[in-house]
Amino acid sequence: MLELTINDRVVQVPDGLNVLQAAKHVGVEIPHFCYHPGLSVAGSCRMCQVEIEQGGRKRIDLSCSNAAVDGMIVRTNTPAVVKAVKGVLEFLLMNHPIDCPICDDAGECKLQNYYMLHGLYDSRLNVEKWHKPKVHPVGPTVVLDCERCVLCSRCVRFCDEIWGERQLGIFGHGSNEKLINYPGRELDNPYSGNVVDLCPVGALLDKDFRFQRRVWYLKSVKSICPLCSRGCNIYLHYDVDHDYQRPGRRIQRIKPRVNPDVNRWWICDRGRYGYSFIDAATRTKTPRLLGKDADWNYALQKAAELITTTQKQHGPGSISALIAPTASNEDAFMALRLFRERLNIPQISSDIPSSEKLTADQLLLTDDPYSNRRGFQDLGLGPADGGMNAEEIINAVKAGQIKGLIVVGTDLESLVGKQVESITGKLDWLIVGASQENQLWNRATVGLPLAVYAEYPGTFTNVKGMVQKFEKAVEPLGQALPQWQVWHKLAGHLGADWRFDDARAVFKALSAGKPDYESLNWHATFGVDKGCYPDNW
Amino acid sequence: MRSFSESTRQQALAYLELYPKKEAALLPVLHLAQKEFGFIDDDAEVAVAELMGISPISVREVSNFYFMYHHHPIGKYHFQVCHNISCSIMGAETILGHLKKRWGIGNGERTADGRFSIERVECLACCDRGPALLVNQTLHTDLTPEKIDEIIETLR
Ligand code: SF4
Ligand code: SF4
Ligand code: FES
Repeated sequence: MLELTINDRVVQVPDGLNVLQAAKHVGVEIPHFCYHPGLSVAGSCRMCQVEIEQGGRKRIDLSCSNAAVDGMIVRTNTPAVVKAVKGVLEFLLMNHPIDCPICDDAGECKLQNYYMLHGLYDSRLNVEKWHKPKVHPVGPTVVLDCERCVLCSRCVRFCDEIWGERQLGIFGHGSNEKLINYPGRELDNPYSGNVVDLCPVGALLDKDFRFQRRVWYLKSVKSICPLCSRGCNIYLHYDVDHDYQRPGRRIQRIKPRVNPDVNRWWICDRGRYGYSFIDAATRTKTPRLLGKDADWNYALQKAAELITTTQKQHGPGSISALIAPTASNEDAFMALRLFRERLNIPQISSDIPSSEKLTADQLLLTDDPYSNRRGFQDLGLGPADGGMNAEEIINAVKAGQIKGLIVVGTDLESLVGKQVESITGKLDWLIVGASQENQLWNRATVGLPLAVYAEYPGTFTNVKGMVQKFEKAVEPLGQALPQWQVWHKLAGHLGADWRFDDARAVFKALSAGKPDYESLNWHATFGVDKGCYPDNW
Repeated sequence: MRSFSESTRQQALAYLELYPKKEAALLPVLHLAQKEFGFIDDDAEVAVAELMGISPISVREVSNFYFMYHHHPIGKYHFQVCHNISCSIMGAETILGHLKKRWGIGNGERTADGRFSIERVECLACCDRGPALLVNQTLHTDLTPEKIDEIIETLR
């Protein structure tokens, strides 16, 4: 720890911070564009100037590129500092198009915020502003407006330092200087969307969020990316109250949530842009019985009858369950409690090959598209937990040894291709739990529509064994239910009297005796954020 | 694709040895490239990048920043007119306008016969004798349109 004075307050901050970080640490925000804690220090925007007094000598200097030192006196609000910052701001705004009314960044734009803080003057420019490319397709996911850019070089440094390949550059000189992709190259790295978060203004914007929502309408919950086993921490930004643009689109965008132990400030494009399944037209919304819509009670009653009858006739081993490890720990726990403990089904497997092949990269993405393989393993549903794997179960079905099959979260394409009849023909019945209509859905004896991760709270355990909680953003579509609730209800139809009021109760039960799980404070990460992007540096 | 002559290559590699960070040699190497190719176009940037083992983006960022690097072929006689404050006060725009009118070309352009080109440049360090102009390596000061015409006559 070291002690310094910031705006006449004596404060203590940890070692190793720069002045800007030290001030932020004690709640003093210093305006800045180019500084970002995840990138190297550029010291180019000159916005972060403060007065620094050391050894009795005062100077105006950059807070981002001066280390906080014991005994330093920092002032962020003297007339000289304000004048310097205003001057920088005026230069930045000189050729800025000020098209805030049509800019997606309005509301979370640093330039706009700092103008409100320090500007509030009329432009003194009486000649035409410089014009530069607008709506420039800088890459497949991002659109660039060179006029809005403040040349902070954050995006350049991201490609360079974090992804490791130069894709953008700042070319030219003076007022004509512009950030753009190098001819023949695109901003097409698999982490490209991070430059949108980094860009302090509306120069780099997500194509898929363009003109979708004013950011102040967005609500936000803390969530976990379900698209690979890394379990990056994210915010789900949603809005259901202003759907003039694309009716039915509830999730508007995904933003990274800082977690130094998992994803730092970043997420990959797969995770960022891969949310359309949540509001897809192919979502399952109603329970199905023999290809027709049914209500939950009736469908589950039927499912219970099928299970009981088959087990009575052919024994407990005549039923098998395949559950993809994309489900939450609570889902897996309840499935195990029902199928293994209550029904004594010996063959339950989550070891289902994925039809999607991922290649791990140097940053975050793993080679495992399943978000919760580790959690399933911890709960006793891993590949090493004995019994047959998915392929062997399918073979047993084909051999007529299994009469009833429960399939959840997979369409089995990786095991049987499109030859669904090769198994349905051998089965007395097939119960399918799915959130998307798939090749099994319409052939299911009983179809159970499942909620997706954005629609209920729960936990995933990532590849490193970290238990992480995700929150509920929106209601389940139609009549869909969280998977654990479906098993909870089905258990009721099978005569069990279980009382799990909510996901938290399930989590409490599953974490008993598991220190990694017990240490998670369920409430600590809960709550709906009004502000749209709290990790904004 | 452009490639350096062996002697230029050796010279450039020698420059790289002079600095703790190879990027620091970029300015002199770009000058070498300009001398060799006449101007710095995309291919020249790539050649420099390959020779130095850095990204062509880094090369372009630098070559675009300085007016001393030309990105198009220049004339046999390259007229670089200062337009900084002192020269502007003393009539740099008149000088530029005169050249443009005389040759019918704009700033950064070259006459069809390849003899002359014009470029508006930053300070030539002759603020006391503006307007000033460099023709290739030769400095001319206290210019007027008449004086310019005289200079051009001598270049025939
Ligand atoms: S596009 Fe944005 S992030 Fe990139 S240099 Fe410009 S202002 Fe900075
Ligand atoms: S690396 Fe994996 S967990 Fe992280 S954002 Fe990408 S897909 Fe999601
Ligand atoms: S934040 Fe310090 S110079 Fe840009």
